[in-house]
Amino acid sequence: MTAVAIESLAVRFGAVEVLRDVSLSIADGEFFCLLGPSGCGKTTLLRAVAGFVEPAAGRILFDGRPVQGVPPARRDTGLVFQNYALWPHLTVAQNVAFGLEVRKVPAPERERRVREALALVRMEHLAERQPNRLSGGQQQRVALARALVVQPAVLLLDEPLSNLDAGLRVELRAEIREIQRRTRRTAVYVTHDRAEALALADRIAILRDGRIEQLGAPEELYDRPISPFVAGFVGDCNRLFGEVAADEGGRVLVRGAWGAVEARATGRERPAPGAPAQLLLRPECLRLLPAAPSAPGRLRGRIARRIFLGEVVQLDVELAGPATLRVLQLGGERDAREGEVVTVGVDDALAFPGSAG
Amino acid sequence: MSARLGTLLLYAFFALFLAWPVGHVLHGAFAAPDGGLSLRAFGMLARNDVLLESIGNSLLVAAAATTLCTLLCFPLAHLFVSREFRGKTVLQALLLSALVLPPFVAAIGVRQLFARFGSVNLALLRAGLVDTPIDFLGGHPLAGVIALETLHLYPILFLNLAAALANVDPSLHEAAEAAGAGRWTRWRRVTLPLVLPGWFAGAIVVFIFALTDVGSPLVFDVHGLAAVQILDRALEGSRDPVGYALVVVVLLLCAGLFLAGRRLTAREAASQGVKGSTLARARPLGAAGRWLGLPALGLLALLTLLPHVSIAALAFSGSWFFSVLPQELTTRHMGEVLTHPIAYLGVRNSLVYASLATVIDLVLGLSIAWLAVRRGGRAARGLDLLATLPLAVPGVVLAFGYSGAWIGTPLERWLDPARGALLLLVIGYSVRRLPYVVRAADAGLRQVPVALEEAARNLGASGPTTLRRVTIPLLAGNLVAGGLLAFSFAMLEVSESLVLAPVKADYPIAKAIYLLLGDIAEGPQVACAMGLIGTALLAYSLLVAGRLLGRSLGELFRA
Repeated sequence: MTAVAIESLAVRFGAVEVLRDVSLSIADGEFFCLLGPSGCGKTTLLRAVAGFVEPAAGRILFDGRPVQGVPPARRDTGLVFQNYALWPHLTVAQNVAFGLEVRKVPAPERERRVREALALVRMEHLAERQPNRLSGGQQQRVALARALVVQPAVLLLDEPLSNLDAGLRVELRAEIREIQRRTRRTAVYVTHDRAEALALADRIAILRDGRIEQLGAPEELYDRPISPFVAGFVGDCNRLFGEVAADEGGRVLVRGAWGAVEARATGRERPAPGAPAQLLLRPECLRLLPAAPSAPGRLRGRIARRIFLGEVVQLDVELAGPATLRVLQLGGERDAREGEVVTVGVDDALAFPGSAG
Repeated sequence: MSARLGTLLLYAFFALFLAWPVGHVLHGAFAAPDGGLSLRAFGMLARNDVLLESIGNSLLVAAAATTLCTLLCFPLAHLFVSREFRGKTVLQALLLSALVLPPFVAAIGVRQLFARFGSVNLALLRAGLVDTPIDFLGGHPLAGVIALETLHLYPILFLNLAAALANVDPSLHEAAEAAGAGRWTRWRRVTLPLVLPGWFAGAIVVFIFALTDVGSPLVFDVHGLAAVQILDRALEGSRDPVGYALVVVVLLLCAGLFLAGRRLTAREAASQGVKGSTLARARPLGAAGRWLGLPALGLLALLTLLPHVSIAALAFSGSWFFSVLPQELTTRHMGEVLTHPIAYLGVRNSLVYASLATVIDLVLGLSIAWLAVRRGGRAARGLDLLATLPLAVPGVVLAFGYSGAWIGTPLERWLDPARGALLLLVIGYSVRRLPYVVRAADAGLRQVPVALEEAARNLGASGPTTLRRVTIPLLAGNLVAGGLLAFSFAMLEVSESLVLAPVKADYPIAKAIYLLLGDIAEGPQVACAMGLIGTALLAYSLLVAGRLLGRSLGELFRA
């Protein structure tokens, strides 16, 4: 087991700066997620840790030892590729045994460890099958077994579930987390799927344009995002634009044509009184109330659309301004009709500086 | 070995065996007697009517063959790509069979048929259709060469055009149709601009082949062509500066065309993002196609096969003098391939030369393709260009350069044709055929995701282990295909074989065939038997390569 530290890392591809001044530390045995939109540099960061990308500046340390110049073959990482990268000319067992063979592990031990690794991912019954005769989920399991069998210091996973359907993704991410807990490997997991990151990670680093935007535990990122980008990336948000009317006791009052809402200011910068501000309201923090006059935290509007989504009903409520709020209603709650005038109760909101433009 | 050291060694190889001989030729052309630079040789060339005429003739042969191939291949490719008809696969195989008959072997068959007292004239005389034999070959020797080059080279253009047509996204046609464009406008405004780079890439190869081929002109005894003039000078061991100037003119012509083709092909690859599938869109052949297209195809297939049939007939004929068909058939000549002293020597030597050249090509080709695809960068791109440059350096030019490049250097004892042809021919063959292996390996590497190699490296495998356990097994098909083609073409290489093996003990197949043709007794029959075996070998290689490479086979025959 190994702790990983990244210090002021920069990676350039020609004139393009893909990673800029990235610093983070991953604790021994931690499950760490790199989350961000396409092109933010998360896979590049993972490949730099694996040794496939040469940094232009900065250091990567495993247990305090710099690994610059150490070739990928000697870094002792187990990489699970996005497309699994199973060798089509080798069977499942041969794929898994490969890393042990190049480490010259004696045959009896090799066979035992291959059996154990395949059992760990519940694939021992398909050991002699060619990879192209496996389903996506099975291939993913083999790729995981192949990475784990060499008992790497750090397990690196590059969007390993992105090619699978939604149901299988949920099932396999639970398995991956369970296997990581059992093997107690330090794991770095790249994904652009926030649900995956929130469900799996001990901590998450959110990347944007080659920099770390925010780093923290899932709850911290969700509850106390430091920017509208982070807030929007880790969860759905309604946005309202207005002006700061008051700032008292850590909370700011934002007022607009749609009404007024008291909100928490968790960002790097605090919106100043009189300055434009944007409010972020998560759908689960909104409640539908019987029609009543507007008041702070009580926004009056009309239901413009009602969309049935199965377990929830989505209501688009048009406010004065004009502005629209998306409110989710769980089954069993009071049924609302299109055109009905309602009041939306706001339990919690986040305020950041910024205007609609 | 590190990638940097490998790159350096590869550059050293090209510096020694490509740049040095070419530099030797340039030096011979531009060196003044006082040691400075001079254009004197080019001035002498400009005043030499024989050589000027030979350049003109060569350009005429190349241009005419390319034009004829183009006229033939546009309708042919259109027919095969967009129409469905019975016997399509068999017809395509018959048409492509022209590729497997080396032109100088084909020329033997054509001579047997169309000579003054060949089968055609004898048949016409017997039928009373003519009183005196028609001089098909003597009257218009260039026409014979043009016809033969066209018949041999049109499959190259066909492969390129068919691939280009198949790659045109069908929705582009549909968009033009929806905009109200008629069939002719669609072809002119959509199809033609899109397939033009593909045509150009193939046409350049046809042009360069036709411009520099020495085999068929020699069999027709045509010496008024630039390539044959160069060959004659190389065979004489002439160090006349005019000869060097002629070589430089031909070299510049070929290299310029090749580089233009490469640039255009690269632009084509960059611009054609979406590849369409025409499989579902091939329509049944209409009435006009059935009544005009198919008979024309049949005639073309017959013409293409005529030299093959003639060669086979000669190879199995006991005697064939002054008769339309062989008077008796025998398998004796096939056996003589292994017993006739010159034939046996040729086969044995060529097997050794071609095998060694193929091994070198596989090692160099895989290394260069790997560096170009996996490493990239200016140095690797330079290597890729150098490896494919031999397509632009005609065999006769390289042979001319090789014949004297190392005389007077410390390498003379190993690289002087008079002292032994083994090393010269092995290296010469490998340099000339390297493009096939590089392109086959390159195509394969582009299809193998780099993650498969990274996965091995990540699990602790060293570079050589990754190459041996992952890369080579995954590329096996492409390497076998490229290697087979390199081997077969090396077995049948003409120019270098004629120039670089002056000693009888070193004769390769091509030189043996050439000498046997002059042996009036049964030499031509044995030569044809050798040609037939060579053709079978090439046919087998192309068949296997086609299976293994699929559509990528066409990539091997383009600039």
